[in-house]
Amino acid sequence: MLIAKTEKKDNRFQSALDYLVEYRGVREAAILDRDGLLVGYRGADLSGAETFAPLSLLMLHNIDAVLKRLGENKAGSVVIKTADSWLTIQGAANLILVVRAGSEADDLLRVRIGRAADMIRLHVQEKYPLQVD
Amino acid sequence: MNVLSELNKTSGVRGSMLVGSDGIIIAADLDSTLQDETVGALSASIVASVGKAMERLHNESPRQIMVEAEHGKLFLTDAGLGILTVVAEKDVNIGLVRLEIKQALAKIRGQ
Repeated sequence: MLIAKTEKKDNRFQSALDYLVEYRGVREAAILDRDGLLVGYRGADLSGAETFAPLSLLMLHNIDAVLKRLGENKAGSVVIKTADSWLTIQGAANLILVVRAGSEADDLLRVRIGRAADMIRLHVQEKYPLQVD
Repeated sequence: MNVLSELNKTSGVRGSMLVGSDGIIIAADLDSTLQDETVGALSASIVASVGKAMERLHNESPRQIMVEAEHGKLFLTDAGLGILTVVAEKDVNIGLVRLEIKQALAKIRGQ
C-alpha cells in the first residue's frame, strides 16, 4: 500500500504530461532539467525526444541571452509557430516544460500548459523545497 | 511606414519594426525607450537561432515566435521580405495583436 502511494506521488510529472497530451492536437510533451536532460516525456518518439530536449533548451538559452541585452530577465515562455505545428517552451520552477502541438490545437492549450506548469512547480516545491527558484 | 503606425495604434503595442534577416532595419516605429538598431539586431538573432534549431528538429522554419518576458511580449513574424517585430506590454491582448499582425502582413506583402 505504501509503495503504491509513493509511486503515485512520484508520477506527478507524468500526470502533468498526460494532462497535456490528452488535449486535441498535442503530439508530444516533455519536462527537461536545466542541463537539457529529459525528466519526463509523453509522445510517440522517445528517441526523437533526445534531440527535441537539448535543442529546445538551446533555443531558450539563446533567447534569454538576447533578452538580457534588452534589459529583460529570462523568458517566461516562448511560442514558436511553423506552417503545421507550434512549439511552446515554458519555465516551471527549475525545470522546463516543452509542448509540441499540431495546427489543429487551439489557443486554450495555453491554459493547459499554464496549469501543467503549476502542477510541476507544486511537485518540485513539495519534493525539493530548497531548489525552488 | 503607414503599416507600422497603424499596427502601433493597437492597445498595448509599444512599437513595431520591419528588419531584414541580416539585422538591417527596413522601417521602424518604436517608442523612444527602445533603440531601433538594438531591437532590430536582436530580433534577427532570435529568428536565426530558433530557425536553425527548428530545422534540425523537424525541418520546419518558424513563421511566428512569441517571447513572454517579465516586462513585455515580443512578436517576431516572417514577413517575406524581412521580420516584422512587434514589442508589446506584458498584459497585451495576444489575440488582437496576432490579428493586427496578420492584417499588417497582408499590407506589407501587397506593397
